[in-house]
Amino acid sequence: MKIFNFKSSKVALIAGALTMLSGYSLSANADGHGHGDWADYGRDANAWRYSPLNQINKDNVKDLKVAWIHQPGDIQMGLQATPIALDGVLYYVAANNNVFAVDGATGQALWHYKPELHPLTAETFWAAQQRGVSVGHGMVYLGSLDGRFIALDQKSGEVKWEIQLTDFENCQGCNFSFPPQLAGDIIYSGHTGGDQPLQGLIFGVNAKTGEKVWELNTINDDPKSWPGDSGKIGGGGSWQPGVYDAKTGTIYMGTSNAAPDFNNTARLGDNLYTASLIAIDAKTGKITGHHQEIPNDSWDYDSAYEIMTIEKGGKDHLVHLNKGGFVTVLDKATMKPTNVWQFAKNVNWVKGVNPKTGALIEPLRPNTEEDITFCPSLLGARSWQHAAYNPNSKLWYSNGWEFCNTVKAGPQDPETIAFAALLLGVAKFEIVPVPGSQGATSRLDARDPFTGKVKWSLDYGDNPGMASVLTTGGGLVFNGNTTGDYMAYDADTGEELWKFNTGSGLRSGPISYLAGGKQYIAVPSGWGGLAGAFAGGVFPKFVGNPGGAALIVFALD
Amino acid sequence: MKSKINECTTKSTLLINYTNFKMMNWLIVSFIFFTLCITYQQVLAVTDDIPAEGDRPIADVITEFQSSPETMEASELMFNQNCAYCHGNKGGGGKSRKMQCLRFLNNEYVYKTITNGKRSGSLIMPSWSRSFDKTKRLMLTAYVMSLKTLPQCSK
Repeated sequence: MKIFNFKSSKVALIAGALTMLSGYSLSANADGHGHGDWADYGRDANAWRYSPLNQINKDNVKDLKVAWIHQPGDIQMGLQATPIALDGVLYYVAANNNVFAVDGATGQALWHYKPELHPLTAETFWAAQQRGVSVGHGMVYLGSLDGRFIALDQKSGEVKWEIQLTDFENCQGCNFSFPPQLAGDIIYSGHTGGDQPLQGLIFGVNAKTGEKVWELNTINDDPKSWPGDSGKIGGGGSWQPGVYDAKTGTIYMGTSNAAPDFNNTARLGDNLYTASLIAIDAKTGKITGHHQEIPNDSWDYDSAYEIMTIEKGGKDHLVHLNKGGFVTVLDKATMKPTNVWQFAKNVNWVKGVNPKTGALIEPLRPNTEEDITFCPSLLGARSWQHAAYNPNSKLWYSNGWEFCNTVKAGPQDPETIAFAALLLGVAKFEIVPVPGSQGATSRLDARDPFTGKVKWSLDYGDNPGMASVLTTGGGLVFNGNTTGDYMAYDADTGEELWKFNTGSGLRSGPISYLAGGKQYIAVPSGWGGLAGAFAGGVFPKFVGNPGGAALIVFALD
Repeated sequence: MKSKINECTTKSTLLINYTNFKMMNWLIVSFIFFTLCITYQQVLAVTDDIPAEGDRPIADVITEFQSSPETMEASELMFNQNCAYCHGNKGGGGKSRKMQCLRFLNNEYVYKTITNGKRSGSLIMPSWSRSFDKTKRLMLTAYVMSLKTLPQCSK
């Protein structure tokens, strides 16, 4: 067997020269993906939203220009996707499940797929919004707006298989608004509907054949968790992507709040496994570990947001923001907290959270007799737009906002609830500023992920950053606001180095990738979504903010 | 209501029978009359849809609902539980503009929008006819119409 020949040595020489010239490594990571790719929703299994690319850096980012624009045509609910980039091709999804493969260097569309959707998709609360696809096994995987997984041929966009997973017509239109994720040969996802009268399910499907392998119900079948029939409408949908640890074959997912959201009186138990981080065996779909952040959640404080893995002291930790305003740091192996720190500035629903155990200290719950103002609101200390982590600066970058909601709990009949309505369990609900404040505020923070210590913080005022943060090996942090400004900052100091207005608000997951050896920054622009609707009362810029949909890609000349 | 439809159709038929116009004119005139009849029936259909309210004009129903504090309280609760998260508390603005103090808002438009939903640019509102019967949709109409006369509207 020939181990070394002229051809491979030439390749190695070229690779070495390129590495020296451009300063980035050509080596592939454990998933087999190169440093120029953005292979997973959070770029890799750590969910850092960190690209090691450094052609664009602190010195030259001021010269960043538009390279090309792709318009998907459908602007309903804006453009909320995180594109996937593999070998210089972008795969992304726009409103109403319009999937595109686009040449990453030119913006030329390679194929376009749109499924025929169930007519009731136009009548769901979730409507048209979709936030990504996944790519693997030569296929592009879509979670559809009517509750299917659809696998497309990566080269042609033709359907390879599809499977109906949710009981779409009978679950208030519960569906997939985030992309299903790969765990080896399993493609898996939970569904929307944490605020609706249903039980949250997570589906594991054979990624190659489309056969269902397992189904996990997040509602624990135990009367101590769910007295009487309360669990039948307990919520707990895992509506955001999980992450997969290939070393242990474990999926980590966050679950939503318990339902009815604010009226906890009919479900006086711990309500496992809602508002929890759960570890799942990818082969069997069995829960192998959990940490519940909010037992008997009474405020709509999901645990659904991104789960980052960060190594410290020879151990992997999970770093996770809950909507209630606290970041929990867990030992990944044991799922036990190693620290809990407060991210939100205004927290009044609890006196604190025990940093050693995660236990809530003296929680104040809503009742059916009086209006009570709780901070943060049901939209959380931040909406779903994801944080980023840069291994060079060792900082965690997250948008945040400060406002509250005034709530009087009330019964709502789950039998007669409208198809597009939420089972919030309220008689009164109003988003309000923090009492005594001048109005809602927002910011971009750079913090130590383990302690919460602030390195820098930028005031975004009444124009919150509603897109996911991107950080790069060029020492940069990118972030976008409600009125469409996209900014590059020095990752170490927060100094603004570049700014471009994209023409519509930003509510997506911008990425960085290589095509033809050149670094690009892809920014899906287009205001839309539900958080803006809820919070219009405290952020006037949200009200009537012009929508749109354009994938805008930047590069140096 | 049925008698009104019959009356209208009969008038058209009589017109066709007794007009001395040539064939082409005949057709045009009768077509216009039939179209007018259908339009008339569709406008009336808004009120005709309300089983409990008979043939009363929508304005009368809304006025009656708005004069009952109990009905308006129930309507506001329905709004809070189903509409407030996109339209804001008391219609103060969410996805779209404020629904308060709007000059041109009228009963028919509000009722039809709740019934059929609406799409405009990036905005989408679902149809609520699957979930709310006509009386409930009229209650919501009465509540939304009451937002035209909030205290701040006269400032």
